[in-house]
Formats: sequence, C-alpha cells, structure tokens
Amino acid sequence: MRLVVAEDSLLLREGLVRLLEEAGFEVVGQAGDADELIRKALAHKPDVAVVDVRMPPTNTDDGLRAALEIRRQAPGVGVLVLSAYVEEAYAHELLADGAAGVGYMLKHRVADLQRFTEAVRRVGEGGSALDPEVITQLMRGNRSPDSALAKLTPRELDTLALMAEGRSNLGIAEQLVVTDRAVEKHVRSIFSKLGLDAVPEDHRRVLAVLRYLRGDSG
Amino acid sequence: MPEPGADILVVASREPVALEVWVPLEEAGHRVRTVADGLAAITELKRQLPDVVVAEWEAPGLDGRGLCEAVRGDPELRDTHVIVMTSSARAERAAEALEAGADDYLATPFEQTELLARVRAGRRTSQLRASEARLRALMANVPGAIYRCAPDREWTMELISDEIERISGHPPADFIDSAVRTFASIIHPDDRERVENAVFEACKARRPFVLEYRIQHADGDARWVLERGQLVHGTNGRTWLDGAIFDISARREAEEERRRREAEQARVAELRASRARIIEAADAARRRIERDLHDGAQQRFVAVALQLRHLLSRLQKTAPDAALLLEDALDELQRATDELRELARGIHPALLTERGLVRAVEALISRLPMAAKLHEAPKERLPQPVETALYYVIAESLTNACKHADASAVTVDIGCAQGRAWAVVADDGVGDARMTEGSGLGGLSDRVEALDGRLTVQSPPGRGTTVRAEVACD
Ligand SMILES: Nc1ncnc2c1ncn2[C@@H]1O[C@H](COP(=O)(O)OP(=O)(O)OP(=O)(O)O)[C@@H](O)[C@H]1O
Ligand SMILES: [Mg+2]
Repeated sequence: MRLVVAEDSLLLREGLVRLLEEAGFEVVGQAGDADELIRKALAHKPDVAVVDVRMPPTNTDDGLRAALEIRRQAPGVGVLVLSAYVEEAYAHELLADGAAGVGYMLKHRVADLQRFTEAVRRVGEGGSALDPEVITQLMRGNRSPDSALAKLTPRELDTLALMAEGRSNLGIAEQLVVTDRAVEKHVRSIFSKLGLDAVPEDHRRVLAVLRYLRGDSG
Repeated sequence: MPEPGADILVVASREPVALEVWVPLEEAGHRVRTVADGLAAITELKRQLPDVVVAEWEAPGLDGRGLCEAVRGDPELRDTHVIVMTSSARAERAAEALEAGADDYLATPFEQTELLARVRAGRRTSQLRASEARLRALMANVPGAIYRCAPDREWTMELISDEIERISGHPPADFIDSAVRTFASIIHPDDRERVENAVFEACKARRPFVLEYRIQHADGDARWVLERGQLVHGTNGRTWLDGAIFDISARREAEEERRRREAEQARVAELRASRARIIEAADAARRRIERDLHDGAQQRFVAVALQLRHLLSRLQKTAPDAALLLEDALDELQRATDELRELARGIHPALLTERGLVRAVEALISRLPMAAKLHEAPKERLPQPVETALYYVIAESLTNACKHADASAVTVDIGCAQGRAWAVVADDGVGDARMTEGSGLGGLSDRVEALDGRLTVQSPPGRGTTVRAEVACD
C-alpha cells in the first residue's frame, strides 16, 4: 500500500515513516507543509495520505484544508487526518462527501501501532477510520429525540459506533464480545430502522455511518 | 430740508381759532385732527397718540389746565408734547400753563411762522422723548445690564440698568458716580488686569470689545459675565463707554460640565481601550502558549511514545519483564499527553480561531457531561475580540451550570444586531448564583466591559440562572 506522509515536525515525520515502513507500507512521498502535500498527493496518487492538521503556512488547519482539496481533486486517494484535538466540526467537513476513504484520529494514537496501522489500511481500502473520541462527541451531539437514531437500541447504537470507526462485522463482534451472527442481526436491524434496506451492502454501511455522524432526523 | 408731516391734535372750542391753527398747519403738510374740548381731546389721545397737541388754555368743560394735568397724570399719555395757546394780554397765564405741565405756550395772537416753528420744535422733542422711552424700555427689558460709563479705571457709571442688581447683587445706584462702590471693584481680582488691558487696547484701536470675565457677587460667589462695549464720542468732545453686561454663569457652568463630562468620557474610553489592549495581549499570549505546547511538547510526547513503542516491540521478544514496565510507562505517557492536550485546549481553543465562535461553542457543548443546546447563532463570524470574550463567558457559564446548578437542561443563545453582540446561557437549576470578585464569572466582567459591554447574572433561588453578556460589535 502506497502512502504520502505530511507532518511538519521532522522528528515526528521520521518516526511515522519508519513505523509505517516497518509495518509494510511503502512511503512514496513526504511533505512538510500543505502545498507540498497537495502537490505530492496529486502526483503520486497514493492509496492514503496521512495528514497532520496543523501545518505551515498558517499553522492552523492547513492540513485539513489540503486533505479536503485532495479528496475533491483525487477522490481515489484516501486521507487519514491526524490532530492533537479532534473536533466535531472538522469531522463533519471531512465526511461531507461520504465516509469512504476517510480517517480522522487523535495524533497520539499513532503510538498504538496496531490500531494506527489498521486505520491506515482501512482508509486505503476505501473504508473509514474515526477516532473513538470523535464518535463519542458525535454521539453526544445526536441526542435529539426526534432523530431516527432515537429508535435504535443501545446495543445497536454501540454497533453503529463501531461501524463508524470503520470496523468490520468481525471486528465489531470481537469488540462487543458477541458472535458475528449477533452483529449481523444488529446491522440488519439498523439498516431497516434507518430505511436503508434497498441500498447495496457496501454503500449502506457508509450511509448508515454518515446518517449517524450527522444526526440526521430522516 | 422739508420734514415729513406730523400728526397734530388741535383742541379749540371756537371755530375761528380752530381755523387759524388748522389751515396753516395743513398747508405746511401736517395731518391735523381737531376736537372742541378737553374731554374729547383725552378720548382722541387714547385712540391715537399725535406728535403734538395744540390746545386753548381757556375752554369750556375741561380747560387747558385740566387737559395738561390729565395728560401728565396718565402714564400712557405722559410723553405727549402739549403746546398751550394763552392770551398775550395775560402774561401770568403762560407761567400757569407751564406749571400745570404744558411743554410750551403760544401767545395769541401769533404769527403763522411762530406756530409752525413751535410745532416743529415740539415734534422734535416728542420724537426724542419717544426714543428715550424706547431706550428705557430696552434697558429694562434686555437680559443684561446696559451701561454708560466714563472711560476711566474705575468704570465710573453714568447710568446702568437694574439688571446689574440681579447679576452682581448690588443695586444700580451703588455704581452711579461710584457712589458706594466702583464697578472695577467687583471685577474678580484674577481677571481685573486682563479686562483693563483688553478694554484699553480696544479703545485705542477704536474697536468694540467682547469680554468674558468673572465678577464677585455680593453673596461672595464668582459669576461669569459677558460684556460687549464700545468707546463712544459725544458731540461736545466727551467720550464714554457704552455697553451691556450679561450673566453667562449658567452657560459657563454648562460648558464646564460638558468639558468635565467629555474629559470623563475620554478617560473611561481610554481605560476601556487600555483594558482591551491588556486583554488582547493576554489572549495573544494564550494563543502563543497553546501553539508552543502543540508544536513543542505535544509533538515531542508523541515522538517519544513512537520511539518507546519501537523499543517495546524489541523488548517483548528479548526481555518480557522490562517490556511490562515499559508498557506501564507508556500508559502514563498517554495520560500525560491527554492532560497536556486538555490543558492546551483550555488555554486557548484552536477551533475558536480557525472556525469561529459557533463551532467552538458546539464543540464545547459536545464535550459537556450534561445536555445542552445551542439555540440561536449568527451565520457570520464576529470580530476576534468579541468572539473570544463571548466564548469565555459561555465556557465559564456552562462549566458553572454543570458544577453548581444541578440543572436538567441548559441553553445557549448567541446573537448579533445593530452594533451589539450577545451571548445568553440559561439553566433551569437551583439558582442563587453570585458574581464574586476574582472568581470565574467576576473575572469575566472585565473582559466584557473592555468591549463596552455588560455582564449580568439573573439567578433567583430555585428558578435557574441566566448569564447574559452583551458587548459592542461593529
Ligand atoms: N449556574 C449556576 N447555578 C447555581 N449556582 C451558580 C451557578 N453559577 C455560579 N453559581 C454560584 O455562584 C458562585 C460563583 O460562581 P463563579 O463561577 O464566580 O465561581 P466558582 O465557579 O465557584 O469558581 P471558579 O469559576 O473560579 O472555578 C459559585 O460558587 C456558585 O455557588
Ligand atoms: Mg465558575
């Protein structure tokens, strides 16, 4: 899997690259600011661009803006955005066009090697990887009682939250310590309650997650 | 030079006499009315005052004496010029007539030229009297003290109107001929030299002068007056100063008051501006600290964690005991990173600068351990100092609602209209909150006031707490 890594702190970038290479990824380009990132991402068309939010030139949200730009110009390139803080507002911006190939994680999660490399891989395969903290925030924001989500049982909500993290049914089953058949049952129920029965499976998952993340009342 | 005709009232009981007076006067261009006796004359005078009255001394009914006495006794008629016709055969009549109040007399028989000359002179006198009356009326009615004085250092008054008593507390008679005091003596000592010099210079240059200075009122207080005056040259080589003095204490006080108010406003504005600068500087420092933490310590922590993970993966094969220890250390490092992150966020929420107040407040609400709702929020971004101030008010109020209120719901409203921006945080909790110096809420009122704003807390016991901050926003 081919990656571009954008991170302005040299120390951290070196660490990330080494870690990713050891985990078997091929890092085809490195960038220290937003412009370099866009250039290299569009040139290399990697499977995933791993992007730090705060980067030069303005050191605010340049990385995020660059990630959005890359998604617009090269929808096939997955983006995994890393940030010292995760913000619901940024999550909404990133997910505006769908959760496929999008990841948004707290930066310090990279120290959890397995989790991090898993996230990179999921995004590269067109899935999504959202930090549990993003999920918690979004869940809090979605407590409005008229939401279709209000019809979900707590167990279904847990399942949906894990789906939003980008996990497979098997992954969810492990996490919830239930059988994968039980998870499948929950997932079907979720699709039906959200009115997604008719949609193809892959798409359905993404739509359910999106609806969940946005707190749609429909 | 022919003068315009005068209005003349002739009082004559006998036809020939009337004709003898009337005809030449009309021929000379005067307008003549005639009446037959004194009573009719009084009625006619009251109807319209003539310039001159020519009356027979001896007449039936009200005679010349009666007419003169009636005219002089009536304030409205008093200034009428009366010429009495007396017989030249009885010279004592002339003295009697003048005694009774006549202005002049004509001895009969008389020449036409004499009649005309007396009437002309009479008319001039009556015009002079009228203008004097007007002057007197003016002096009495003008809202200032009119004066005429000698151009000397004492301001020796020849005349000064009654208004001076209201202005200075001293009766006008005191100043006439400096009988009791000189006018110079009531000019405030600090202003005396300035006034003297200004008047002297103006007189020398033959210019009118306008001065504002203080006088000392009889009650001991100083009063501000405005004086306009001018050196006047009389026909006989005499000179004097004519002018008017007005009391402007009220205006001066109002000006003084306005100046004081403006100075005070300027001071308050400066205070506010300097407070705003201090807060702005502090905010800038907070943004810098957050950035330093983010780019420095936080990055380093992550980098160190990465390296330690590498080490861990090796140790797990070679020295499992050490690996366990390292894992603990990594957990600790994780907690430190979390704490540092929350600390940095508390120092300055980056989202506030990057996405604005509304997003920052939404993020705040989503991290809150209780249900909160953002009702209204402006679509546009507000100026940075406004967003920052409102953010901290909302953040503190939400924290308070969670900490103290025991509320089931809290709402936030943000608004902006007509040069004002506001934030309202309301909970339905226990109420009875107090804004105390130095604590969370009290500390924010400085921030709000620096933006020409107000922070109010309504918190009746048992009926929830509403915190409202309103600031200028343009
Ligand atoms: N929403 C509220 N409901 C009920 N009581 C409140 C509320 N907000 C504040 N109070 C009361 O008013 C007091 C003053 O609040 P303030 O925020 O100034 O200080 P604090 O919260 O006690 O301290 P700090 O904010 O410095 O940590 C609080 O101690 C609390 O008793
Ligand atoms: Mg407080």
